[in-house]
Amino acid sequence: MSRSLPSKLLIAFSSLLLAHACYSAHEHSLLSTTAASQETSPTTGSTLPLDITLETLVSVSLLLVGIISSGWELKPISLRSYAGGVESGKILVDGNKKGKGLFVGLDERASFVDIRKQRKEFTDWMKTQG
Amino acid sequence: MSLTSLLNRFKSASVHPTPSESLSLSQLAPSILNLSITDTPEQWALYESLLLSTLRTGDDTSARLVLQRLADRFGNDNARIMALQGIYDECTATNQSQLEEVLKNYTDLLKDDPTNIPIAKRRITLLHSLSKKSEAISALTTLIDLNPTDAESWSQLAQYYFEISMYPQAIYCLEEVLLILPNAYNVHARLGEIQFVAAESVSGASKEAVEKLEASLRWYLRAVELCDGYLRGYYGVKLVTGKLLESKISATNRTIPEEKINKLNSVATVQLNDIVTGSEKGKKGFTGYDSAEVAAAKELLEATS
Repeated sequence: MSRSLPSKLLIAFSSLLLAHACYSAHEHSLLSTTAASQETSPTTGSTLPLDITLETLVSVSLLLVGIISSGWELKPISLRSYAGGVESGKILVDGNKKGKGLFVGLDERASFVDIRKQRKEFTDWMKTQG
Repeated sequence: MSLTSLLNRFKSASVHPTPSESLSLSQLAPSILNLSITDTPEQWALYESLLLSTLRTGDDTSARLVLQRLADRFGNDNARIMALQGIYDECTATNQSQLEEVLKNYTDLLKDDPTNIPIAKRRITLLHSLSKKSEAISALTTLIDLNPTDAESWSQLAQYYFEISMYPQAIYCLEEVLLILPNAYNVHARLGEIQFVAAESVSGASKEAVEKLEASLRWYLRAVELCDGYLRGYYGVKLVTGKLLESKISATNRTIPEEKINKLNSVATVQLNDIVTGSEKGKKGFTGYDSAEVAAAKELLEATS
C-alpha cells in the first residue's frame, strides 16, 4: 500500500491528537475520583470537559480522512475490470491458469469431454516421444 | 504435497490438457492415492480429476482404484459416479462392438431414468465420437427440451452445428446461452467468430457478407466491452475491421461509417500491441495470457502493419 506524504502526516498528527485526548480523559477520571474521595458524599460521576470530547471527535474524523485518502488500491467491482484482471493475470483466482477466464466452462464443457479422442492423442504423442 | 496444492495443480490444467501436462498429472496418482481419505469435498474433486487424467494417459489400474473408492463412498447408483463409470468403460473398450455395448448400456440407463443428465451427456458424446452426428444432435435437442436452462448443453449444440456448417443454428444456440448468462464475454467472442466464418462462406463482397461481418464486429465489440483487455476480443475487432476496410467492399453496403471502423481498428491495434509487448516482457499484469494466443496476435499485427 503506497501512502502519499500529506495523508501520512495527517494520520500521524491525528493519532497523536487521539492519544492526547485519551490521556486527558484518563487524567480527568483520576482527578475526579481523588477529588470525590476527599469529599464525604461521593459524586457518582463527573462529566468529561467539552474540550476533551471535541478533541476526541476531531482527531477520529481526521484519522478517518487520513486513512481513506491514503490512496490504496480499490478492489474492482465492475465486471469489465474484474474479468479483464482475471484474463490478463492481474487478479489470481485460485488454481488459475493462463488463458482461463470467468466463463471458461462454456468453452471447455467438461461433461461432454471426448475422453477417447484425448486418450488417442496421448498415445500418438507417446509414440513420437519414442 | 498437501491436498490443496495437489488440487490446484489439477485445477490449473484445462479440461483439454496437452499430452505432457496429462502425463505429469497422471504421475501424481501414487501420491494422491497414498493420502489418507479425509472425506472432504476437495479430496473427491481431486479423485475425479485424477480419474480423468489417468484415463487419458492409459493408467487403467490407477483409474480402476480411484473409481472404486469413489463408488464406495457415493454408491454405484449416483448419477455422477455412473457417468464416471461410463467414461472408464468407454476408455477400456477395445473394439467397436464393445463401444456399442457401452452405448446400449447408456440407452438402457436412460430408459430407467430419463433425467439422468450426466449419463445423457455421455451418451451424446459417445454418439458424436462414433460419427453418428445427426443422432447426437437430436439426442442433445431432446436433452435441451428437458433442461432448457443448461448453458453447457446449448454451447455444445452450437459446437455440433458449427462443425457441420449450420451457422444460423449455431448462432441461435449461443444466443440462448447469452439469455442464461448475459455476461459471458467469451460466448460473445464465439458468436463473433461464427459470424465471421459465416461471412467467409458467402461470396466475398456481397451485401450479405458485409452484413455478417458487421454483425461479427458488433459481437466482438460487446465482448471487449464486457472484459477489459480481452485478447480474443481485440483480435477479432482488428481482424473484422481489417476485412471491412478492404477495397473490394463497396461503401454502399456498409452501415457503419468508414471513419468509425478506422478508429476501431486503430484502438484494437494499440490494445493488441500493449498486450503483446507486455506479455513478451513478462510485465506484471500481463502474465495471464496464453502464449499461443499472444503469438497469434503478434502474427496478425505483423501481417497488417
